[in-house]
Amino acid sequence: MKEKAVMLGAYGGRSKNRSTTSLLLSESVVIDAGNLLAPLGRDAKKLDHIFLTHCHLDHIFDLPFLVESFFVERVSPINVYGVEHTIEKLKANIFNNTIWTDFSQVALLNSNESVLNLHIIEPNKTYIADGIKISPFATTHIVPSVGYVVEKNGRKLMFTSDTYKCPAVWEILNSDHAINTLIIETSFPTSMAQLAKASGHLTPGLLNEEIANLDRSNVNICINHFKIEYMNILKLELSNLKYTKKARLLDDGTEILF
Amino acid sequence: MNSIKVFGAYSTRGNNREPATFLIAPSILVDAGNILRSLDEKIDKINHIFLTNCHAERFADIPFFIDTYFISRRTSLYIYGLRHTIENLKANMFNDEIWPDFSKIPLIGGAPSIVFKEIEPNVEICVDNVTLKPILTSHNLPTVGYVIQKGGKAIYIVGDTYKCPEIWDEINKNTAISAAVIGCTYPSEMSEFARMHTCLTPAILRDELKQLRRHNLDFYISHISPAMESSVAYELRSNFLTANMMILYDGYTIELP
Repeated sequence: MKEKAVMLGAYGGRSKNRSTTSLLLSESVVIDAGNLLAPLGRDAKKLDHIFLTHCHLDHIFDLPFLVESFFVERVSPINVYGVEHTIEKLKANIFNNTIWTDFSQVALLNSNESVLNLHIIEPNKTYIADGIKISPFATTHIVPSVGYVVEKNGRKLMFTSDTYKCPAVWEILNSDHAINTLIIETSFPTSMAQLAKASGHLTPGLLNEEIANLDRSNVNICINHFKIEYMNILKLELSNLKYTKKARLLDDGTEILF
Repeated sequence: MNSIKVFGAYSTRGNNREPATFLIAPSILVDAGNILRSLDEKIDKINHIFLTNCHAERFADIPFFIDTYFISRRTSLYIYGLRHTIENLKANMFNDEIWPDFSKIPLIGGAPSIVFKEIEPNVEICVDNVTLKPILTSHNLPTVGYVIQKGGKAIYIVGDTYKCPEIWDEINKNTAISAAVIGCTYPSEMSEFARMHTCLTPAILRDELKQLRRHNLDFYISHISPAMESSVAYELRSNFLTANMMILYDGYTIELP
């Protein structure tokens, strides 16, 4: 039986009806916190495990608001996972009692446990949350970042999150044939390759070159993190390139079966 | 048009509610918790954002606003706030870690994309024929409200505050103020929590209002906690609101009398 993930936020920016990165893996497990409160409503209270790919605002945006919305009702902590740099930045710049209350120092109302637990994770190890195996691997971005290989009931998916050219993505896919779905990014038009490199992102042209590294033809490729202001040209370019034209372009709320 | 558009009316984001954000004029915003999800389409003219403090829900949409509109903007986005507010915005948000430091990135044409401007309490600033006077409130971090003079009328957006006599002094002596927006965040039974978080409850606000010597102005209640909305609104509606008071909601338009 196929497993399901939901792209709650598929864009590299916010607008009236477009939101930033979140990939829901089960009702209690999500990767990135770009868009949780609006799509999940009251169900956002069920989130117990949030795996972050890096510390950029579009990937953590809803985290402070999520914690504040439900800390009175919750009976167990919200667990947030990230590499050392991500967790350090969350502590120093967000949950610092100035920008936001340091909820890791606030106890739940009916327990001695904290409202928020921040966990440092390491690439190339495997973590288990709600029965889902989650394995981070380092990607190529301007701050320390990871993608994740997700395994749910034997089914495997890879989510790269933000990245520039990244050999590890193709090495893992070529060696682990159980991964049948890849969610990768494209942010800027091909003409903006310089900005894409400087900001650690891909263009349709770069992604097309990257996919050429894939030795397999049985990987479903999905694309996210479009910069909203370039959406039309990105669609056009992606639909005209050899390796990207069959890829699925994700939107907020798109369900991915793997 | 002497009106103010309420892009957000609440203390924070959540429960489908947006944080307090007020479009004073087409180019001027007080706080920026919700710019991109406003019902108003004309957000591309915003050039001046006056912040009340450095909490995340006050500036939340600025990083995305400047990023999305960067390519089409030709004029700088000016961000005004107390020194504490600006320093924390630079150190924690526009720090090239959480978000790019846009103050170092020029727009097409060369103007800086963001310019930070420190303001001083009680020192008026005039932009686009609107005068804003920042007034300190009593909150757990440096916070101002703004008395905003526009077309001969003035509205006082108080900002996050606990008990604060200076608010009532200002309203009593500045008779140009014809409307005030004041926060009332938690239910009265949470008075200790409200004191710790330096926010008002209906009971504390009722006490505070005893210092008011003028009665010819409209009161708008803002900054209700989305998580506590039903109990705060119930309390306000059952035995509190007078004819010149109303509870603000996202998308409302305040007409200055």
